[in-house]
Amino acid sequence: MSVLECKNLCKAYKKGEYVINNLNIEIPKGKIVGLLGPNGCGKSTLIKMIAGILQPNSGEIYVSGKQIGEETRALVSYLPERTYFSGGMKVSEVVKYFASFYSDFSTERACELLSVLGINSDAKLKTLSKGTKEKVQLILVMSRQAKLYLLDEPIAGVDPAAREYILSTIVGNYNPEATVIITTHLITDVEQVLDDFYFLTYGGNILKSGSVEDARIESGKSLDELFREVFRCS
Amino acid sequence: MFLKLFRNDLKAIFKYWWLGAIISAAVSTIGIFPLRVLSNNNYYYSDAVYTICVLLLMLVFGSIFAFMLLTTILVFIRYFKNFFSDEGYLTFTLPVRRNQLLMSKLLSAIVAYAATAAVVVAEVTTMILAAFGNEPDFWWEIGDLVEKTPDFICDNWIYIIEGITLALVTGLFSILLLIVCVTFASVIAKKAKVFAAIGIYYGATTIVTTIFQVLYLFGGFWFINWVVGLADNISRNYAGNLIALLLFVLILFVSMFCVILYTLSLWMIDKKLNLS
Repeated sequence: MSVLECKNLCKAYKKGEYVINNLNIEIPKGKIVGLLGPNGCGKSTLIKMIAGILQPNSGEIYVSGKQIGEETRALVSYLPERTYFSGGMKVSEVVKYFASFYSDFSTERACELLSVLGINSDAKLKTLSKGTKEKVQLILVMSRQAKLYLLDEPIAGVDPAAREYILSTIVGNYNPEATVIITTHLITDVEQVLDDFYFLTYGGNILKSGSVEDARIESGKSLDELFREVFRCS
Repeated sequence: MFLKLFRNDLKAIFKYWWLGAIISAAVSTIGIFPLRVLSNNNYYYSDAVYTICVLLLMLVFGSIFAFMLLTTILVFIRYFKNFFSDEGYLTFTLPVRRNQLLMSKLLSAIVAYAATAAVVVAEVTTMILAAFGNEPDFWWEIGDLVEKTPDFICDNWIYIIEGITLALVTGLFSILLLIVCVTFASVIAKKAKVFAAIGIYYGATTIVTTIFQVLYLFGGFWFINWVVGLADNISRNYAGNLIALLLFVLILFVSMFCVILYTLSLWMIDKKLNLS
């Protein structure tokens, strides 16, 4: 059974102007998938709909065979492109907060990752830099044993050294039975960890998709080069 | 899960509420002095003393008003920030039902307003008792007030129950009006959602207040006279039942609006959520 299934998915913020138009995707378990495309092509909108934050105008989304709702939110671990914590909270309080709401959250794992990165658990979030906050958020998201991880621009706001660490955290901590969906513009950085890819164009249409390895062999180009070629032509 | 949400909401609201309660209680104790001075006819005080007393009383009532306003601001901030700011990305991905999220916010607001009302009543009662409690006239006036209340109201406990219920549903209506206005503003506004929420809430409360004032102006006096006259014109028992029924209809009417506002808020959160 696929972890994620989208059927005839449509989303318009204004009447008639579809950001996602009749999208059909089926993603199996155990994959790290890149959702790649130019700005405004609907990547974040799609992720938000899967996370249950946005309602589609029409179509259906299934996570592990269940329609989006309370049950699927327990299966999905979502990292938005912005930091969502109240600045007055301490790192340790945020860890407790996650542990209290998510039964699949591992406090030990989170504390271990925090100590590896040298993040003080007693520090208040408002005293941390933007990059450190993003790291804390990623640690919390990856410390869950979820079925589906949705990572919206996980490496956009951090320096190249931290990117490497973040990607190794994603690869090293996800459950092999789960699926990770990553959206990003920084294809060169994520290419090494991706199994499959989807090139999304305006209107949420899929221009190209498949295995990253196969695409490399077929085209003789890296995914980044292929992306540039595809979106230059369109 | 609901209890965890509720505990977090209470914690967030009461984090600063205590400070307001302590300051308000401390300031209200000052009010005992000017009340005693202004009510004392045995001594002559200078204009300066009277002016100071009036200013002190203004300060006391100002602090009580500020405390009530603080509660509204804390409820507003908790609701807006947790639902419609970046925090919403966490709130709406928690494995709970939207109904539980909204109900938790509503109940925590009710607790906050109830606690505020209790503190204000305690402050005013303490002030009045400390200022006038030793005077025999004070207790005589209270007794006289009770005696003047028509018998059919005093003898019927249903009025007390209905009165409390009406106060509760009216309070609930006020909280739900705040919630629905903030939700509506956050759904329709793309930028400056806070200002949109404040503007819409202010507009809505102005409209509701105006409607009630007009109703009171044209119907209130007539209704009071009608209630007093009932006892003379028809049997007391019949009059009592009729007023109890009217109050019950009023409670149902306000409750119906509460249900509509709650359902509307839930629908907007569920279907029209617009996190930037």
